[in-house]
Amino acid sequence: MALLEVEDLSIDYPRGRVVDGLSFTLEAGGCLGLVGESGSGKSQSALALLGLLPEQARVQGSLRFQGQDLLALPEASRRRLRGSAIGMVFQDPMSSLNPYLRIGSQLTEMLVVHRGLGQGSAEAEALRMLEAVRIGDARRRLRQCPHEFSGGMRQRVMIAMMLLLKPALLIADEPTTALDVTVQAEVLRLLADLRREFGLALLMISHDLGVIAEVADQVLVLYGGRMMERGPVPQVLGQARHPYTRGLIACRPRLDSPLGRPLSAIPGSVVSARDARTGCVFAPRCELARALCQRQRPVWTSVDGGAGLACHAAAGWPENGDG
Amino acid sequence: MSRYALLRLLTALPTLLLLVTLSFFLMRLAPGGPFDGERSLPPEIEASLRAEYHLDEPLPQQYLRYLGGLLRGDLGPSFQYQGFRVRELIAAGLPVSLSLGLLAMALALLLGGATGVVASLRPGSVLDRGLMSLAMLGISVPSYVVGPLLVLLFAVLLRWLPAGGWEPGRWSDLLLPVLALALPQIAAIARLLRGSMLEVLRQPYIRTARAKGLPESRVVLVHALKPALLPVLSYLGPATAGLITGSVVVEQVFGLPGIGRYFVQGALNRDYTLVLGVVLVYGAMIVLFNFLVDLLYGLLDPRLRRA
Amino acid sequence: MAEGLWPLLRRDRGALLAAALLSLLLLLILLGPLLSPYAVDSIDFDADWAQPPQWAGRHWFGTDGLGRDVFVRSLEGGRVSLLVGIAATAVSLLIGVAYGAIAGYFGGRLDELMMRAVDILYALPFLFLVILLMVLFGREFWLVFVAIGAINWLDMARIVRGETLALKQREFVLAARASGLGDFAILWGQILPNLLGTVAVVATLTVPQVILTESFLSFLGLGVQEPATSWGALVNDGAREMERTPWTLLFPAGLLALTLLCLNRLGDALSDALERGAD
Repeated sequence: MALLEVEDLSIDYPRGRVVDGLSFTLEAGGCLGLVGESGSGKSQSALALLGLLPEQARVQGSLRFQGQDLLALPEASRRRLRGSAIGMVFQDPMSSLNPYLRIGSQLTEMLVVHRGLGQGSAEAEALRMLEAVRIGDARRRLRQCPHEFSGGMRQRVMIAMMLLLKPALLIADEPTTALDVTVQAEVLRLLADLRREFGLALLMISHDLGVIAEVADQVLVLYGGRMMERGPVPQVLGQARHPYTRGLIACRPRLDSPLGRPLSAIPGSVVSARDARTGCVFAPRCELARALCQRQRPVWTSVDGGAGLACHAAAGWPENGDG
Repeated sequence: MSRYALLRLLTALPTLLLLVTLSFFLMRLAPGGPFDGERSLPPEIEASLRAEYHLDEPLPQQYLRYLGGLLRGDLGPSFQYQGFRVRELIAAGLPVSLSLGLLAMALALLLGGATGVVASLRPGSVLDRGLMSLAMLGISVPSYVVGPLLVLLFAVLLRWLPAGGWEPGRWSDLLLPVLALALPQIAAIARLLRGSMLEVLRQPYIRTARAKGLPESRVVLVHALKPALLPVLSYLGPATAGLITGSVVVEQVFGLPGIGRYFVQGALNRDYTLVLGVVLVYGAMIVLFNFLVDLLYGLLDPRLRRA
Repeated sequence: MAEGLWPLLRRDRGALLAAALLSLLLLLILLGPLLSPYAVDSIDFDADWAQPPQWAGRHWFGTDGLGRDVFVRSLEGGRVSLLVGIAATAVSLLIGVAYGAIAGYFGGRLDELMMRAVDILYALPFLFLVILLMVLFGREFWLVFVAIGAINWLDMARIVRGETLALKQREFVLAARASGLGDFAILWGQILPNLLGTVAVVATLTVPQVILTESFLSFLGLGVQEPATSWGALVNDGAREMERTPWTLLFPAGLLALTLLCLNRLGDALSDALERGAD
């Protein structure tokens, strides 16, 4: 049994659908990278896993975590899973920690609320965890407030906080996007180390293929709330078949690219699932798009090596392959 | 922080001095005097009275004399209540005024706070809209309208409570006055706190708190309430001023022997020292409350702690 | 701002109701006395003194302890209260806008000095000084709104200053300056028209405050003097006689509360709309 099985997840708001037919599995200790531009539905999917979407959002499909159907659980049980079995680290470490509370109490309250620990032993655990994420002088740090920490430090505090209860799954939503490049590398290394140390499964959300390539073993490419391509990292990033994935790879700036050569960019701008109900959501920006793409939604096709994608072109223009 | 506190307290002194100075000269420039009673006094008696109270001295000298008295803690003699020092009069009335004001403040914070939080949890719901409509009504109905209406309802029609008056130790006498005084502030605080709660509940750190699996009560009361209280805190200064002016009329409506009635009566009778004394006490209370608010601010907002 | 009023009212039914009620109240206050045969201070010797309200009779709101018609008196009191409210708001508007615009526009040292002064004035319990003023200098009618206007301009000055600071960085002001327009021409021609929306909102919220202050003073017997009357004065009279003639308290108090409620509701909706517009 996989740790997390997501099947046909859709999220609807009154103004439209933001996630449409998302499916993937994540093994215990594995790492799945969720890639896509902003607005592709990555964060919405993550919040749906935690049950933190706003009230007007309607979630359909099946979310099985450790065998239990998350959507069937009562709110109280879902709350107990949050933080203890599923942790989440957010993008902006500046605003994601409560600026008005000491780091110490933000850490220890996890243990007090979920485990019923006393203040003393909770503090001892918090101290150990701060040291595990390599924050020096941890005892003094516990007494400080978030504004006394640098951005990278705050993200490490955030990670420590979410790992305090040894969750089986950590969702990291753009955990390094708001950080300096050098700090980014440190935090990514820390996440990789902690994953090994705690046997943690990681759901890494990023718009940055480089980040995904570094930490993830599976990758799922999202566009406009729909799955474009999914598979093992070496295969999907090495031999991308979907035009969107290829586009993403092509727009990465590379240090070894000759100076002056313009970076390629995917023409057009991101759409959300609600804008394109029929047809392929990527068609308006796709260089290969034909009339079929506007008309008919491509079906999900498995390819060798456990990968799969949804693209008429990659599938060799099935059915009436008109142009 | 103690240095900061001290500095704040020192900068408050000029404000009080300005207040006393303005009031002093304003009163003296006005026509009339304390001895223009209905029956006019024989000139020689009035002259001796004026000499006794130093009213025959040039104005600047009187002013300095008054300030000198203040430094010694002496508010001077009352003109109207002959034989009494202003300090004695204020000491007699202050406990009543203070209990009234502090109880109203406490009630406003508790009830206004609870209302604001409850309303903010389900914005747009029937409960929220109902509570906020009541609050809108609350800020539109001043104490001197609420007071008589409460008396009409509870004392005249229902006969549950006395219409007014005061006996030391009978706390039920304070019930209606406190309610009348507090209602507009309850409404104001409820509106303010609801707004700031809504703002705070949108913050990313609240999402974090929920992602941590904290019970909603803890998310609201620990993670959201503390930052949301900051705007309420800075409203306490104006609220104090509002309560004080409100207490002037509430004391009159309910016939409470506080210091508020000295103020209007004293001014009408040109009881210079009494009015100045009351203004000074009120001013000092406002300054003191603003000072406490500043200290609390420092405690609540860690980013200011080192400033 | 002006073109934003109708869409706003259509969206916000509460505000629409407030606006409608307010118009109705205004109409009643202005025209109501014509409907009734009684004058403000005329005593109806045919009617009983302290006669309760009767819809079929001639005194819809009853009469007070002196046999005066409460309906006419309540409306007359409203006229005075609204008049003071508007006049004093105009005073505070005049001072506040001039002060705030000058401080914001010229900025620098002058701004610092002017705002420092506002801070100090804020710390003063102004109402006391007004009470002193009213008590000591006779109770001149015009003094009422000058005094009240003089304490209410601080908010206006602060808000206008903030707006002006932002406005003077905008392209059209920079362009006007580049084309050689003088400071006061820019203030008058470019800044002031763009302040109107904000000023209208603040003014809408100031009117109820001023009415409150006036009725507070009148309640203490320091505001409008007999034979003229205002809602505050009527509430004061009514409160004294409420055991005998509760309607003399209820009608003016109700009208006062209703008016303030409508004004506050409308002001709230306007400032919400302005905030949304700023985003």
